[in-house]
Amino acid sequence: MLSGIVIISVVAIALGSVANTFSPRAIPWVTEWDNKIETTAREDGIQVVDLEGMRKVVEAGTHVLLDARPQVDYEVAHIPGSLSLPSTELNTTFPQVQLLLTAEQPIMVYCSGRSCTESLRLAHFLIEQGYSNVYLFPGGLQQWREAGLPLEVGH
Amino acid sequence: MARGWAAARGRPLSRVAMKVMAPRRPLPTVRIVLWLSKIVLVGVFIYAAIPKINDPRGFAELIYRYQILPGLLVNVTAIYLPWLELVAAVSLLVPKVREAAGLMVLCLLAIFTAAVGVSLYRGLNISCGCFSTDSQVGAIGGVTIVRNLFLILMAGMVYLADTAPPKESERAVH
Repeated sequence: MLSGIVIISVVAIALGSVANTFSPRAIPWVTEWDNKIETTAREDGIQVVDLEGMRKVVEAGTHVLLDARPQVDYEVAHIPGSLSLPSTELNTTFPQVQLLLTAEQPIMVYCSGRSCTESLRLAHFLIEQGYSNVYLFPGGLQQWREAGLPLEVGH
Repeated sequence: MARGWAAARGRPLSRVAMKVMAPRRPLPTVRIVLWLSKIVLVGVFIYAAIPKINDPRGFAELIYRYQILPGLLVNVTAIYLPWLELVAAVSLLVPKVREAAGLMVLCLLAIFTAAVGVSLYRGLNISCGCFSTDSQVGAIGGVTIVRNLFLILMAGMVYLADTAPPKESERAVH
């Protein structure tokens, strides 16, 4: 039994190692995932905002807030004043949101938390569309909720 | 032994005695169920492994979203786990290692189910990453748990059948 487990494990490790060495889709053996979204956003020139900054933005109402999560999650709970713009349905939903935006309009994007990537995808999309003032709140709804800040429900 | 003893005494075995002492094999229905379970497990594991092997980056992202592993282990897991699924599944059909493969498949399913259960308990709304690396496909839920429990049941049956010692009568015949 033990020898069988060793054989299967060795074969799997060998195949995985070969695949990740020679495959065009190879990934780094180690990535610092814990700050990946934030780091990537900064590297791509997207301005990153912490919880306190986000709270001020929501209170001041200076930015258009965009929730990049799926519509169903948005309807369950979202940060007050934000609009739903799921990063997977940009073709259908962006034309409606676009009417509210100007090229210099400050835009804040967020998703569920530090492990989600929808907000980063949405930020990239907005920059490609020509919007220059795109901000990202990497803590997302999770950090907002954990801080006990108010939430909105529904549309 | 008994057959030899009776024969040595020159007495023919009764029909009942012959039936009792005949090697006991699982009933045909049970054998069919076991084979079907094994084939389903092999198919499901191969079907699950291929998209992850084709898209390790996407799979790594899904693993990270579970927030169970430290960030440093995410990529290594994304690289090797699909291959372990694939090799363990194919090994279910290889007589020499099928017991080990059965145990590994069972353990993998138990780990996957525990990960989904913990994530549901923590209120995470994430993609399962079971058969796709698309983060918008196959959100975890009660259905995922039930499906995994069904697969665990099949894997348990296959493992027990493969590891069951031969019956006394079978040993006597062999």
